[in-house]
Formats: sequence, C-alpha cells, structure tokens
Amino acid sequence: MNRLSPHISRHLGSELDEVRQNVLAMGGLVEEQLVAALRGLVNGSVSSASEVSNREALINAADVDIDAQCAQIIARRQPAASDLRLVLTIMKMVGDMERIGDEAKRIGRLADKLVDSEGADDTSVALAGLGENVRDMLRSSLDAFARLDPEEALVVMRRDRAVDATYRETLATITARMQELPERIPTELDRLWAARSLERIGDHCKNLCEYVIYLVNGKDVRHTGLGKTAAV
Amino acid sequence: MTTNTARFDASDIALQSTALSLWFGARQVIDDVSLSIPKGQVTAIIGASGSGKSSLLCCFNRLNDDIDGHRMQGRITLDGIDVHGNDLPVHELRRRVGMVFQRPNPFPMSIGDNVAFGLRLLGIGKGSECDGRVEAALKSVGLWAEVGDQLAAPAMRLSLGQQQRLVLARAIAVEPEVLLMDEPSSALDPLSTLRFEELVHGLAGQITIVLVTHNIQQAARVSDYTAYLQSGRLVEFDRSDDLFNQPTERLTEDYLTGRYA
Repeated sequence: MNRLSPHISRHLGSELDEVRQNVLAMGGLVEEQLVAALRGLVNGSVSSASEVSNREALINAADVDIDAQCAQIIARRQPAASDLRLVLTIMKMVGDMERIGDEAKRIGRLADKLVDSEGADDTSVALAGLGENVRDMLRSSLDAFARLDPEEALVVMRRDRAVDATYRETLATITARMQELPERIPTELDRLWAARSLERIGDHCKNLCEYVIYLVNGKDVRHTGLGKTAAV
Repeated sequence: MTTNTARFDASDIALQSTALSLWFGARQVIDDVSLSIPKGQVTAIIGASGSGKSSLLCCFNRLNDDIDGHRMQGRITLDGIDVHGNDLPVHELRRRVGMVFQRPNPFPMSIGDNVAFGLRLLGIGKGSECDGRVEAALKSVGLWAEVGDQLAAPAMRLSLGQQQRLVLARAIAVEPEVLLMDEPSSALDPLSTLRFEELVHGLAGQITIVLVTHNIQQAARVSDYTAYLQSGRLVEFDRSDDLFNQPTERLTEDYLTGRYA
C-alpha cells in the first residue's frame, strides 16, 4: 500500500501524512523516555525529574491530539479501504505508545531508587539485556510502521518470545535472591517491577506490529499465534 | 484483472449476467461482465461516470432495447430464465424486475392512481384488492401515515423525498422480485436520503435490490455486496464488508480512497 498513487483530494492526502508524521514524532518521544529510563537503570545515571515529566506531558498531549485528528478525518472524510485501516491503526497504536511511555517513566522512577542500592550484578546484566532488546523492538516497530513493512513487524513479534524468556529467567534469579537474602527484598522488588515493565513494553511493541500487519495486509492477526501470522 | 470471489448456489441467484458486452453504435459500454446478483440482498454497483453501471442496470430489464444502435452479446437470466428468450415476454420481465430512477417521476395523476397504475395493467386496478395493495405499498414506504387521507390529491404536490417514496411504492405495488435503482437518492436531501436507505434495508429480504450509486458511502451503508465497474469492465465483486475494508484489486483501492488511477 506504500506504492499507492496520491489522493485526488490533496487535503485528505496531507491530513493523513500529517497524522502519520505525528505518530512517528510521538514514537521518537516515547523512545527517548525509554532510553533515559534505561540509562538510569543500567548506568545509574539519574535523569532529571522535570525532563521526564516534561516528556511525559508531551507524550500525553500527542496521544490526545492524534486521536482528535483521527476523529476529524473519520468525521469529515469518511476514509475507506487502506485509508480507513491507516486511521484505525493509528488510533490503536497511540494507545500502546502512551502506555510504553508510562512504563518507561515507572522504570525511571525505580532506577532512581536503585542508584545507591547494593549491587546484584547478574540481575543488572539481565535487566540491561532486557532493556536493550525492548528498545530495539520499539525502534523496529516504529520503523515497520514508517516503511509499512510487515516482514519487519513479524521479526519484532518473534523477538517478544525471547524477551518473555529472559523475563522469566530474571524473575527466577530475583526470587532466589529474595529467599537467600530477605533483607534485600525491597530492593529486589524494585528490580522485579522494572523487569515487569520492560516485559510489558515488549508486549506493547508486539501489539504495534500486529497493527502494522493489519494496516498493510488487511488481516487482523491478534490472538492468532505467530505461525498463522507469518502465513498472512 | 477481475476479482469475483462471491459464490452462490444457483437457487440463490436472482439475476445473472454471463460474458455480457454491450455496444451503442461503435462505442462499447459493457465489456465481458459476468455477475451474479444474490436473491433478497442489496447489491450496489459503483464506479465513475461512464463506467457502464447504469447501462448494466438497464440490461437487467431490457431498457436498452429501444436505444438506436444498441447491440448486446452474452446472456442475462432471471431466476435461470433467459430474459431475451420466448419464455419471458418483456412486459412480464418488467413486472418482475422493477425500476426506480434518479429523479422521482410520479405520473401527473393522483397519489392513489400513481400507486395503482401498475396494478391496472395487471387487471386489478379497482376494488378491495387494489385498495389493499395501494395501502400496503404506501405503508411499506412510510407514506401512508403522511398521505393516507389524501389519496386523491395530485402526486406532484408531494415533496421530492415523498415523490421518490411514492415512486418506490408504485414499483413495489406490483410485487416485483427485483428492484433496480439508478441513483435513487441523488436528488434528495440528506434526511430524505437516510429515510430512503432505511426503506432499502427494510425491503431487502423480500425483494432483491440492485442499486447504482455514485455515492461510495451510500453503497457502504446499504449494500450486502458491491460490484466495482471501470470502463465497462467488472473490476471487483465481493461482500461489501470486505470490499470497503480490504479490496483485492488496486483499481478498487484507488477508486475507494480517491486516488489518481
């Protein structure tokens, strides 16, 4: 569908282009929020609270604005076929992206608490690995949307399995440490919540990719499993 | 390329064109169209001006026959019977396959006589059966409550929206199996259009409806199936649910999304 000719109504064409650009810009903000949170989690570098909350406000505003733009396009243009799928996809995407922003903010808060905590190298390494993975997933999801590339979307969806597996391992490590050193339970709980947030971000990225496949191929692949998704 | 994925049992097909081509003089207006119109459903025919949709509609009850230089190839059947064959005289065909045009065309007579007009041709122009059918037809288009007590008033006094519903009542009074509608609401205001579309919904099931429309949203709103024509060729025929969300053909996609083809 990226090879389609331009719209006869240049207004509609430019409105759809604009809302697409806005989604990508919102994606950039969400990615920045995640990168800042991961810097805190992995390197212990605390990001300023005002920077995080400013970005959070921008992400929330973009969520609302993009939804309003989509509602306007539906009300005034009555889009059909791929145009309709683009608008529906975007409305779903911004919901997941906004939640990724929330999870990133949560990770940032946990990272601040963990800065001076007693070390746990193995879980830190696992968290760093998880973080790197989900950041790549987010970037590739946005890339798949920008390029309308269902193949890339499928690759990201496959990566979510690896993220889930790493999350389960990290969970086991953290649980073992809690049993071993009960006095460290509060710190380890923070690490657990951070891991949980990263795993959630992976899930949201998977959702983004499912929407991209729907947008390009017109098939809803939610709840169908990877095998069937690949066959679409 | 044609995508025609809808498949029906023979008994579920009301009208069918097979390899239909039509010329007016040297100009070909329909090019090898094979299309099955399912019984009791609303089928929309969409396409740009000059794509052949009205000509195709008129083939179904032989309204092109009187046009000079008209030439047809292929076959059209109503309930499996060739509409050009001896088994189906044209007056019988047109009783079974009615037509509603773009502009309301009530006859210059009273409201009641308009609805009874077709019944007269069938020899039931008077008496209680006639009165009952007139009342039922006016009720089914929602006009009875509005004009039931003024059947003797001239039809031309009605509003455009009422006139179009009156014409529809006249068409359904003779109990056709199929109703062909050529841009039936293009002369109506938005509210009358919605009311007309509600009627179309209500009639489907009892009557097979084939609706030619320029209005893509109208086709999406009222039809069960949609056929897209371009330059006299059938590009795509599918369930409207699928065609408007995920058309198979690039040409359909371009038309629906308003792109340069």
